[in-house]
Amino acid sequence: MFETKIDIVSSRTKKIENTGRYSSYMGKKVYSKTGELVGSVYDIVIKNDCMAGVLYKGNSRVFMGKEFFKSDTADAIMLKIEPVTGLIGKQVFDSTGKRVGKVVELKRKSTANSYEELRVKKAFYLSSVFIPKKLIAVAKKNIILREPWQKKK
Amino acid sequence: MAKKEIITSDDILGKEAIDPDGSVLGVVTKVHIDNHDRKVVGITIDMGFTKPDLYVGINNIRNFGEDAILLKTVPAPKFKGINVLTPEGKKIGKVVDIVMKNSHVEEFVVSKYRFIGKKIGIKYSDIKEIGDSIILKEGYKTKDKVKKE
Repeated sequence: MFETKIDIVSSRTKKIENTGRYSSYMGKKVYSKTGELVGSVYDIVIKNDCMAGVLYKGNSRVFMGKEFFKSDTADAIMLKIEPVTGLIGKQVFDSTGKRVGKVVELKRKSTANSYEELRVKKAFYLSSVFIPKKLIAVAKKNIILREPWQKKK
Repeated sequence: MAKKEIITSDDILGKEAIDPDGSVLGVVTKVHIDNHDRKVVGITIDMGFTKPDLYVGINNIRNFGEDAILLKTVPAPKFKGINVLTPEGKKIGKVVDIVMKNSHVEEFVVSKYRFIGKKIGIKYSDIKEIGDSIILKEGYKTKDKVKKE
């Protein structure tokens, strides 16, 4: 409404009215593909003078590459993917409804949005179990396995 | 451990009910038994303080597990209260009611506020994604809902 006048000192840019600003990303909400609020932006990562992605904070701090943005508006950033980092802390049940434990770590081969296996713990005094991706039937709000889980002895 | 052939009400009551998406819907508070046939016909799930209890028929239950009850289908009342977002991520309101037809969702009634404000109807066909929120398709249409006298 009452915008402060900005003087421009540039040989390339004459107007800045219709340009984007990095500060507009601060605090912007980040939604996953299914509309889950995964966090809000707290910083921007710049590489070679271009925006490489954003840092958002939800359950953990995550760097999300710009290539995974589906839309980027004044209200929110919508992602093309379900970030695998969101699996940490989720409950794991087997196909019979038996609780296997909670995801404490993801085993990833690269920084891509995929994982090899999940490290799951039932209680802090019990040892972890590793569940390969092929055994997972559903990984949304919680994780459900394809078959009954039996711990190998 | 072998699966128990016979279970008691204690093995069901107080357990979490989980839908096929892995969402915990609530805790089982009642087991319904047909007095005539002497068979379990369903369960009641307490979905929390703000939502009414949900009855799930035995045909929609996958199994009575050791730690949780797994359901076969996602019950529509689960979507009440979830946010509705435009394709750009702008929140347009929350689901306040669900219009069903032949046990399928036909329309979601959306309002910015729970008890006051304008209510709009959004057809199921205008929905792109349903998860933690409802994301609408590009070019979605809304219909004003008028209160019946």
